[in-house]
Amino acid sequence: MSRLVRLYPRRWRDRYEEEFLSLLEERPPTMSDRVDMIRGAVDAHLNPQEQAEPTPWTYRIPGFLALIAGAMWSAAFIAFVFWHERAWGLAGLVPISMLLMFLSLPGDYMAAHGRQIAIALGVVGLCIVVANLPYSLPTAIAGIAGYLIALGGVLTLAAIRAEIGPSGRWTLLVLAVLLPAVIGFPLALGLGDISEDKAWLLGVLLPYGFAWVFVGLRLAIRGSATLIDPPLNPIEPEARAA
Amino acid sequence: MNQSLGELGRFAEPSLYILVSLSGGPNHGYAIMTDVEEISGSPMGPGTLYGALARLERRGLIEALEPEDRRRPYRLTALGATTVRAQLDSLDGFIRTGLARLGGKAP
Repeated sequence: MSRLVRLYPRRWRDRYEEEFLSLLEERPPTMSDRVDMIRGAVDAHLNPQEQAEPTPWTYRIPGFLALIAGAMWSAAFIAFVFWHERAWGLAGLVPISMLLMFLSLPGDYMAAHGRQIAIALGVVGLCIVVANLPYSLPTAIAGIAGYLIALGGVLTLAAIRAEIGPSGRWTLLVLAVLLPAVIGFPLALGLGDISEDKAWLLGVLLPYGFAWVFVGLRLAIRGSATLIDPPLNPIEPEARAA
Repeated sequence: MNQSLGELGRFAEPSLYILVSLSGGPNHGYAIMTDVEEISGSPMGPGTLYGALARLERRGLIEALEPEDRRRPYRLTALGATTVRAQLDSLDGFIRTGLARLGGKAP
């Protein structure tokens, strides 16, 4: 029941969710009511101007940033896999997409998760330093592990903002970060400096871009207050809610 | 002055039922829903109810009152009352015309 209500845009739920859920408790929905709710959710997304308090366009910014970041990351690593001779030209997209990933996080959400965002940024910075040290097995392991923690952390924060539940977040982490790491670690460690003919191995990082495209789409559809919006219902940390 | 409900598309008819329901006094979502089902004889889904409520509120035809527990009552505004009266008058004329013509052709 509440899963169907989650299909409605954030702004709509800020205004109507409580009374809507109260109504559904008084009259448990039939199958046709569920279909009607899905139609209602589609309508609320397609006609935001018809809501009592329409969702401001600024609410879409975080989602679009995440979506663009995912698309850029995916484009760069698709190029590495299929056109690796010329792909290094697109390598510049990776840091830009990482910047966009971080820029997609601030908002009313930041008040609740600012510390985690700061830690993730710090870990990324540390990894960049470690990764640029002369190659050795310990620095390679530390660099890759740090990147995984940071990339997984940032993706998790965005997934929480997109209101993806714990099981969904774990699925994303496993498919986009842990599984590629299990496959990619042994290969990457043996390479030292990744040469051009082995660049296709970087394809293991492709699912991370796809995950951001998914999270970005979801975030863009739902909307979320940015720093320039007055917070309506700041998202509380899940730990505090629990 | 009144507003046309025609621009509400598929929500025009549910909106009229809601306005008629609220003509009897403020009510919350569940009570409106059961009242409308009684008036119209057919069920109204929760998605349709809230799609129509949002549109009516946006147009100033109804207004939300302070929540009571988790329920939020709605009441008709002056513009809403004028609008529903105009709609019903128009329907009344339509019904009279239709019935008169049927009566004229009746064997």
